[in-house]
Amino acid sequence: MVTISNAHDGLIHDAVLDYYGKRLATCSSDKTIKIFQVEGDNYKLIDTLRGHEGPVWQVSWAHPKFGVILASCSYDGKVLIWKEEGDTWSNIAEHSVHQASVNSISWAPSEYGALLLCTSSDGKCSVVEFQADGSQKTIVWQAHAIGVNAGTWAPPQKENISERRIVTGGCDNLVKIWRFDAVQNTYVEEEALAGHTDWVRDVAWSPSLLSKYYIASASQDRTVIIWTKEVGEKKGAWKKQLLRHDKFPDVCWRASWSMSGNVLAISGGDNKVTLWKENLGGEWEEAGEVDQ
Amino acid sequence: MVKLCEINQTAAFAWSHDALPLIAAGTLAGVMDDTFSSDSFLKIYDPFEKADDKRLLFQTSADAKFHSLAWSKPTDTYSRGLLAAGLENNDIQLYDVGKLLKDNSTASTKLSKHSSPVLQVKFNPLQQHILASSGTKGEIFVWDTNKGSSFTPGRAMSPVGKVSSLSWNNSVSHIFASAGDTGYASIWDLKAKREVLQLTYSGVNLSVVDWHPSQSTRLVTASGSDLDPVILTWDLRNSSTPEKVLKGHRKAILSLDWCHQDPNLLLSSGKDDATMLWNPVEGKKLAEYPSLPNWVHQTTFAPRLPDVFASASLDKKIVVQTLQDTSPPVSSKVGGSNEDDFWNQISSTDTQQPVFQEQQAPAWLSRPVSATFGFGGKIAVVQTVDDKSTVKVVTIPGLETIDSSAKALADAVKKNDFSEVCKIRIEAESNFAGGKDWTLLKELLEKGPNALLEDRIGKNNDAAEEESKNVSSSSDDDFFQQLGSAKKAESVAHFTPSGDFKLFSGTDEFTNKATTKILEGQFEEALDLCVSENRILEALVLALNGTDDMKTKAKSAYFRKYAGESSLARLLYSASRENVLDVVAHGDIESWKQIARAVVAFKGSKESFDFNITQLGDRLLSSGSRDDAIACYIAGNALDKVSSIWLSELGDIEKYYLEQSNNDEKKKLSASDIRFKALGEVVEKVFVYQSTATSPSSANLENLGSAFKEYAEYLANAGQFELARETLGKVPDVVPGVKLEKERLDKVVAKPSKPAAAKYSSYATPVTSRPATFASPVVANPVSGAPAPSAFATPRNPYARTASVSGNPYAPKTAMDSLKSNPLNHGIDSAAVPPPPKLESHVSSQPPSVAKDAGGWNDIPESLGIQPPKRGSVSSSSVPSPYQVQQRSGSLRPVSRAPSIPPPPKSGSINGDAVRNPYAPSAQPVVPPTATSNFVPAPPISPQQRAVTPRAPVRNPYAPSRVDSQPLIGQQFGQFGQPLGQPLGQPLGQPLGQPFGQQYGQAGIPTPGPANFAPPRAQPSFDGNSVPPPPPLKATLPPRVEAALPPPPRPVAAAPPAAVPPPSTAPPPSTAPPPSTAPPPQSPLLQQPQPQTPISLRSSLPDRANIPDVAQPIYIVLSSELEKVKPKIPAKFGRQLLDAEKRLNILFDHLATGDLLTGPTIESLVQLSNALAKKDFAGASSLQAKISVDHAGECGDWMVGVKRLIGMAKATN
Repeated sequence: MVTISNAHDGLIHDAVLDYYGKRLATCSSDKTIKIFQVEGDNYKLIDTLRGHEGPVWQVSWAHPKFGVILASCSYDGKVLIWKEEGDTWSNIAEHSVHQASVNSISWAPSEYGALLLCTSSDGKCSVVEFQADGSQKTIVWQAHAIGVNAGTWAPPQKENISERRIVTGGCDNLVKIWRFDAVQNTYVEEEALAGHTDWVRDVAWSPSLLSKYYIASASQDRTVIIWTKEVGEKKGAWKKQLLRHDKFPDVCWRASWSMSGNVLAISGGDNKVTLWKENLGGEWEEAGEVDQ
Repeated sequence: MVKLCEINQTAAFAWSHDALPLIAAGTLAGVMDDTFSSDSFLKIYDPFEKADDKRLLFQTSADAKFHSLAWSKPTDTYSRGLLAAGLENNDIQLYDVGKLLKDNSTASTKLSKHSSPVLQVKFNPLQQHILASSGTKGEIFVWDTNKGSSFTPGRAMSPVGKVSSLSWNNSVSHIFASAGDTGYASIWDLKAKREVLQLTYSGVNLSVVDWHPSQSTRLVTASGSDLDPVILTWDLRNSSTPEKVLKGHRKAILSLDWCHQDPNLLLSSGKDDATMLWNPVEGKKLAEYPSLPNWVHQTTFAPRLPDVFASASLDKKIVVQTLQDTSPPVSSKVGGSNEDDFWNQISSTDTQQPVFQEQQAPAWLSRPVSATFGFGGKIAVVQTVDDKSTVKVVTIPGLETIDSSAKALADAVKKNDFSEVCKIRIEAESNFAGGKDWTLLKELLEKGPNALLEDRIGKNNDAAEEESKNVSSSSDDDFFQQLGSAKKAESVAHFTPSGDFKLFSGTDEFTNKATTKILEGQFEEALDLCVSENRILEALVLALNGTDDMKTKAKSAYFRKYAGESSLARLLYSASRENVLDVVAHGDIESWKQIARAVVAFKGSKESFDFNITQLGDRLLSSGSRDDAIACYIAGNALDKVSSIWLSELGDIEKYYLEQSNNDEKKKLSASDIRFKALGEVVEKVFVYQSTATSPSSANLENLGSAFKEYAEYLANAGQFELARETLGKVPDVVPGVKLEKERLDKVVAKPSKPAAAKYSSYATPVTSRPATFASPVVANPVSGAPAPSAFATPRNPYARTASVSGNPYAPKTAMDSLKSNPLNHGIDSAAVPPPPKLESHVSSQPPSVAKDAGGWNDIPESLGIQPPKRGSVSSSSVPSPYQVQQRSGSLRPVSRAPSIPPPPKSGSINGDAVRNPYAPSAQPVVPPTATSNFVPAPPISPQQRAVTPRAPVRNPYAPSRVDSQPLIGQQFGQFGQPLGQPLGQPLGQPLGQPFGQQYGQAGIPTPGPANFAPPRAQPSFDGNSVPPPPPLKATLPPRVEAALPPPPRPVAAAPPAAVPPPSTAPPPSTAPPPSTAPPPQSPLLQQPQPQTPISLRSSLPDRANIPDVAQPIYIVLSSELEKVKPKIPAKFGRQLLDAEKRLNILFDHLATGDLLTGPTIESLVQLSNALAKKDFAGASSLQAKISVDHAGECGDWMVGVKRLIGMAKATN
C-alpha cells in the first residue's frame, strides 16, 4: 500500500492510476496536478502540472495507444490535455467551451478514437475529438437543466461498435443516457432515469460484458442506485435497485467499477470506501471495506 | 453572467425546494410600476424552461400586493410545499402549491392576526409547519400552519419597531433573529419566550439578518443605511463585536442570503442596484454581478441548487443567473474588425458579465473523497480529514474463487504438470457437457493423443478380429464376408488348364469378338470391348497383366458399375487409391470406429491424417457424438475445433455452476465469479490439451482469444499477473487488444515477468553471447571446444544457439559451466541421453513408425525423449549454418527430421563410416562418421575429395542432429569402445566442435591410415567446423559421454565389426546406408507423402563408398559443385537447392547400389561431371540433355537434380 500525504496544498479531488497501474495522477484545489510513480510501497513525484486557474476536479488517463496523455478539468471551466514526451510533461491542448466549472472528464473507449467527454456545471456536456492532425472536433449539447456532475461512457458493444452511449448524472437528480446520433452528429437523450432525491454525484457504467448493462449512480442523497437493463432490450427497460436499502452514512461521492466489472467501490463523505458485489440472487452484498 | 432567464415583474419571490426549483413571485407592495396598477398577482414560473411563453406555470390574482413570500419544503401534507405570502393587507395567505399547479385552483388559507402589513414570512427550516411572520409595528407571530394557531415569541427587551427581516436559526429550531428599523438585530428564544440578545454596531442600522447555514452561534447582519453600507458577521459567543466587516456596497443593503451548501458564500444586494458575492468567513468580496436598473430588493440562492440565484429589482425584473461564469470577456466575444461590426455585434451580445475578484469554487463541487479502480485490482483512494487529503493506493485482495482455482492452474503451469489440475476437475465431478472431458484429458496426458484415439476405436489388429466376430451384425457385412470368401479363394488350388476347348462359340457375339482380339494380342481393345459390354470380370482379368492404363480403365469400369450400390465396391475404391477421403466423408457414421481405424491404417502424411481424422470428428460432432468427436480432434491435432466445442459450452457451464450453487454460495458468489469459474474450466482444458499437443505453434486460437482475454483480465484484476500473462501468451496478437494487454502485463509484472523474460532470453542470449564465449576458445584453446565459431558467427541467427546446444553435451566443462545458468542446458543434457531403445526401434526400421515420424518433425522428441520439438528443429538448422548462408532456414525442416531417422544408419553404417570416411582420422571417424555417415559418405579414395571437404556440410542438413547421433556413438564406444582405441575419445570430442582450422591443423596428426581416414576432414563432413583436437578432448569427454549414455542398443553389435574393417580398408566397403536416408526423411517433412520411399531405401541404405570407381568422379564432382554453389545461392532459392541436393543424393544412391544406371549412362555422367568441373556449362548441359534422351529409362528424379545443379553452377559461377 502506498500512502501519500501532503501531496498538495489543498484538497485532493481525484487520484487515478494509469493504464498500467504504475502511475498515479492526483489533482487538487491548489490548482495543480501531480504525477507519481508508484511501485510497491514506494512512490516518487514525477512532475507537477500547472496551468489551471481553479481547483482541478478530475484527471483521466488516455489509452496508451494515444501516447502518455492526461486530461484534467477544472473549476476554471477548462479542460487541459497534458502529454509526456521524453521526461517532460507539457500542456498540448485546451478545451474551453464551457461557461462554468467542468466537473468531470472521461476518455471514450479507445476503439472510438481520442474522444473526451466533459460535463459541466453549465448543464452541458461536450465531446471533444482530438484528431491526428492536432485539430479538435467538438460536440456540445445541453444535457441537464443545470449542473452535470459526472459522465462516462458505456463499454463498446461487440456487435455494434458504432453505437456509442454515455451516461451522465446531474444536479437535477437525474441519470441520463445518451446515444450518439451520427445523422444529427450529436448525442440524443435515450433515457432519463429518475430515482435520486438529490444531486447525482457520480455515474459509472460497468465495463462488464455480461448480459446486462450495469450503471451505478452515487448521490448526494446518500444512496447508490444500480440501474440495469438486459442488453438488447428496448427503451424504458431500465430497472433500478438500491445498492443498500438504508441510506449510507454520508454523501456518496464516487462510484467505480473494478476493471472486470464485478466489484463496485463507493466512496462516501465519511471517508469510507465500501466494496460491493452482486450475488447470484441478484442482491448486492457488501464485500468489504478498503483500508479498514 | 450566465443568465438563465428574466422574469418581468416587480415582485417579492421565493424559490421552491425542488431539484429544479420554481419561482413564485407576488406583485411587490409599496411600489408603483409604470402602469400605476393596483392589481396584485401571484405567479409561478419555471425558470429553467427555455421557451419564454411556457415559463409561466400558474397565475392568480391576490387580494393585496406582497411584501414577502416563503415556500416550505415538501411535507407529507403538502407534496410540493406550502407557499406563505405576507400581504400588504395585514393577512398571511397560505397556498398549497400542489393544488395550485395541479388543479389550477386558487384555494388558500388566510391567517389574519397582524394589525399592519405583513412584511416578512419565514418557514422554520427544521419544522416546516412552523412559520414566523413580522409586521410594521413590532408584531412577530409564530404560526403552526397545520393548525392555523399562533403565538408571540415573548417579551422584547426594548420597544420593537418595524420588523422587516426574520431568520430562523438553522440548527436550533427555537431560535430566530429579527431586524428592522430599530438599528439593532434581535435574537429570540421561543423556549425562553423572550428576546435574548441584541446586536448593535456603532450606530449602524442593522436592518437585515441571516443565520449561518450550520453553526448556531453565527449570523450575519447588514446595514440598511446608505451612509455605512456594511455587512457584519457575528459569533454570538462574543456578541459585542462583529467578526468580519464586509465593505463593498455603495448604498443600503436590502437583502442577504447565506448559502446553505457553502458557508463561504454569501449573497447581498441593495439600493446601489448591485448584487455581490462574498466569502463572509474570510471577509472577502468575491464577485459583483452586473447591476440591475434599480434597487435590488431581494437576492436568493436557489435553496437546493446554489449554482443558481435570483435577484429581484424594482425595475420589473427578476433575473435568474448562475453563480459562475467562465465565458470569455466581452472584448473577446466582440471582435469586429471595423466600427460598424463592433456595434452590430455588441448589440447582439450579452455584454454584462460578473466581475470576479477571486475565483472561489463552491464547496459543493469540491469532492473530498474518491476511490477509483486501477489495473490489477488496485484502487486509488482519496480521503480527507480536517481539510487534509491523503492519497492511498491499495490492492484489493482477489476474489476467493479466483484465488483457489487459479492457483492450481498456476502451479501446473509452473511445473508443466497438469495432472493435478485434471485430478481436481475430475474429482469435482462436474456434470455438464464436457465435464467428462477431464477424464479424457487425463488419459491424454498419460498416453498421448494417438493412444487416446486407439483406446476408443481399438487397435487395428484387435479391430480386425473384433470386427470379424461382429461381422454378421455389422453393416459392413458384405464386405467382410466377401473378404472372407476372397481369402478362401486364395487358398484354392491353382487352375491348371486341361482338355481341349473351342475358341469360338457360335452365338455369343461378344465372346467371339473378344476371343479374336485376344488371339490377336490386342489386349487393350479386348479390354475396351469388355468394358463396353459391361463384362467387368473379364476386363479385370485382362487388366491384371496389362498396362497401368488398362488397370485403371478396368478399375473405373468396376467402380462405375458397383460402387453405387455395393459398399464393398465403394470401399475398394478407396482402398485402391489408398485414400480414405471417401470413407471419411461418406462412410456410415455409426461405424466411425472402423472408419477411424481406416484413417489410422491409411495414415499417409501427418497432414492428411490430421485432415481425415478431423473431418471424421466433424461428422461425429454433427451427428451428436461430441465426446468421440473430441477424441478425433485431439488425435488430429485440431485445437481450434476442440476449443470451439469447449467454447460453445461456456454458457452451459455457467448455467451449470449457477444451478449448482447452494444458497450460501448464491449469497456469496456473483455472476462474475461464475463466469470466471466457467472460463477457467475452458481455459484449463486448453492449457492441458496444449501441454500435450505435438505442435507447439498453437493452432488457431483466435476464436478462443476473447475468452482467454477475459479470463486473463479477471486474473490480472485479482493480481494473478503471471498466470494472466501465461494465459494471454496463448492468444495470438491479432485478437483485438491482446497485444496491449500483454504489454501491460509485462510492464506491470516487471518483476514476476522476469522469469518469462529469462525464458526468452535463454533463447535469445545464447545467440549473441555464445559467439563471445566460444569464439575465443577457437583461437586460443581448442579444447574449450565449443562448436565451430562459424556456427555462431551468425549471432542473429536464432537457430545458431541450437548449434551450441547440440554441441554442448560434449562440450568441455568450461563451456558447460558457462552455460549452466542457461535453461537450455537441461535440454542439452536430456538430449545427450536419448533413450537408446527408441533409436533402435528406428533402426530396426519399422516402416510404420517411420511413417509416423515422417508425420511431423515434432516427433523428434519421441526419440530424444525430452527434447522439445522446437529445439530439435532448431538444432538441426544450426548444422548447416556454419557453412551456408544462414538463411537456409528452408532447409531446416528437413534437417530436423533427420534426427529420428539417422540412428538406424548409424548402427548399421558405423563400420562403413569409419571405412568409407576417407578423411576421418581413424579414431575420430567413428564419431563424425556416424553422424555424417548417413549422408556423407566421403568418397574415400580420391585425393580430390579432400579438397572437397565442403561437401560435408552439404550433407549436414540431413545429418542427424549431433545430439542424438553422438550419444549413440558414445554407446558404441562405451561398449565396444575399444576398436577405435584412442580415437574414441576424439570422436566424442569432435562434436564438441573444434574450430575448423584446428581440424586441419591436426589433420593427420592422430591418424595413420591416410587413405581412408584422413582424419581431419572427416569431421567437416559431420560437424563441419567442430573437430577438436583429439587429445585434450579425450580427457574431458569420455566421462561425460559415458555418463550421458544409456545402455547401448543392439546396433552396437553391428557397429564393432564395421568399425574394425575400416581401418584396414580404404575406400569402402561398407554399407553406409545413410546418405540415402537423408532425403527420404525430408520428404515427409516437406509433406510429400511418400512414406514408402524412405522405407525401401532404408532397407538397403547404400553407402557412397560403394560407388564403383568408374562412377566416383560423378559423385566427387557433383557433390563438390553442389557445395560450391550452396553459399552462393540466394536464400529464396533454398528450396530448389535442397531439392537438387536431394535428387543428387538419389543419384548417388543409385550409383552406390548399382541398381539403375548402366555403364553408358555412367560414362556420360562422368563426362558431364568433368565438363562441369572445367566449368564447361554448355557442354555439361548438352550432355545432360543427351543423357535424358538416350537413356530416358534410367533418368529418374535424379536427372532434374543434375540439371538444376548445372544451372546453379552456371548462375553462380
